[in-house]
Amino acid sequence: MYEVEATTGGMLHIIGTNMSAEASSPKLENNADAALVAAVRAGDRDAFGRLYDAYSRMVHGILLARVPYGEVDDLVQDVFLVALRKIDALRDAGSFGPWLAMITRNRAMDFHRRTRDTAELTDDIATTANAAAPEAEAVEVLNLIRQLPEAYREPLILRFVEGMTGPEIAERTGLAPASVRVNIHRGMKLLRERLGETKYEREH
Amino acid sequence: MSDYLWDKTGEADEDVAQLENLLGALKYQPRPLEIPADAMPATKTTATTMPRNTRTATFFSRPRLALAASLVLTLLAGLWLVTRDSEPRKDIVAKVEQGGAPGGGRQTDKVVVPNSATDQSAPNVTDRNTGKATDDKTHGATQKSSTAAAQQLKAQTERPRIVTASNAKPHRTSRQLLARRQKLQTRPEENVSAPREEIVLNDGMRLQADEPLTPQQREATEQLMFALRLTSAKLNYAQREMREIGRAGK
Repeated sequence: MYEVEATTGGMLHIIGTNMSAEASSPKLENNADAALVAAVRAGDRDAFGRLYDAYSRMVHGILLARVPYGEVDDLVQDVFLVALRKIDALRDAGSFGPWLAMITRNRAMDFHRRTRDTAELTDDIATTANAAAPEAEAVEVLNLIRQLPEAYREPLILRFVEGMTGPEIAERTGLAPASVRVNIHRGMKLLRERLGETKYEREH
Repeated sequence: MSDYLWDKTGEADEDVAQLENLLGALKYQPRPLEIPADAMPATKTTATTMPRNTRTATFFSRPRLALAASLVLTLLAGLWLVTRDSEPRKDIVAKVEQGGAPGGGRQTDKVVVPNSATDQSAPNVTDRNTGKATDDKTHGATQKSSTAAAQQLKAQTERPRIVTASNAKPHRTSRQLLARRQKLQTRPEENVSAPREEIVLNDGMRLQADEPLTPQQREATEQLMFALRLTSAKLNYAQREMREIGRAGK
């Protein structure tokens, strides 16, 4: 069920409840996306709420691989608003996921471009300011992942942070399953090495 | 083969499970998406705010413009081709006055300038110019052939000669004649006996081979070229506009 709440200030809240969307077959998923995109183009807000539910984890993960942890939640909202405004420009309605992933990556680049001139918060400062104590260790590991080569960051974060499976990552982002699989395994191998080094440094 | 890291099937590795538990704390916490009230209609209003009549008019005005421009261009190009082709359609007769040959006296022959190299019946002008160095036999043969050429000329001037576009090369012929004239001018000792050439058109108009265009002719040519360039530029602009409309429509 999806609820649309009208609030003051002309804002509408779309609240989704089906947050644990399971990955189904890519073809069916694409057809469902195409139908939802068509509905959104026709002015259906509820349809956009469903797309938000299905893809918010992916957007969050992609942003987490690129921008400070404390900024991600706001940027997720930004990305979906941009997508909503530009949805008429989407040619293939069935490839909403890859298109949204591209918008997300561009938005992350914009973020870095805009904050270049201002005092940029380092990840450590940003994360310690926003993360609660139980999350501190998680943020530390996240920072380790973000130091890995770019190709490994996104699939590893989507896999470990957002809990998506490899096939789901490939299907949602539009990447080739084989390359996602390779990147997850190679990234995991590198991460093990980095974690081992960190542990060794702590002990000595 | 099960691969827990890939698709969460089979037995989980210890470190993988640990990472899942640890990093799972940072997963996305769903929160309502706040959409400004004007965000949704904005996508639709961009397409509908413009009055339909105006959109239709702007859409169809450009193709009309393109069509009109292409018609004008075609018309002008056709006109230019017609005027260009009309010149070689007339018989071009070169009047070669041959004289000053040693012992040969002065002869005046009217010969048809051959329009193609395969025209064996027409006397070769180049051979006639270089004929000075030939021996008496050759010279006699040349005289005979020139008499035959004069007779042939009479026959040809009586019946209209049609020069097709494929074998009519007026520019090349003029250029050849001009080159030859310049060559003769550079040899003063032969200049006395060099044949003077002029082109006599069927309608009686005489043109020197190297005669420059009159100011009126030059002006007309320039005007025509300018009109062609202008039309071409307009057509290009219209095509570009059409492409942009097509992209915007998509």
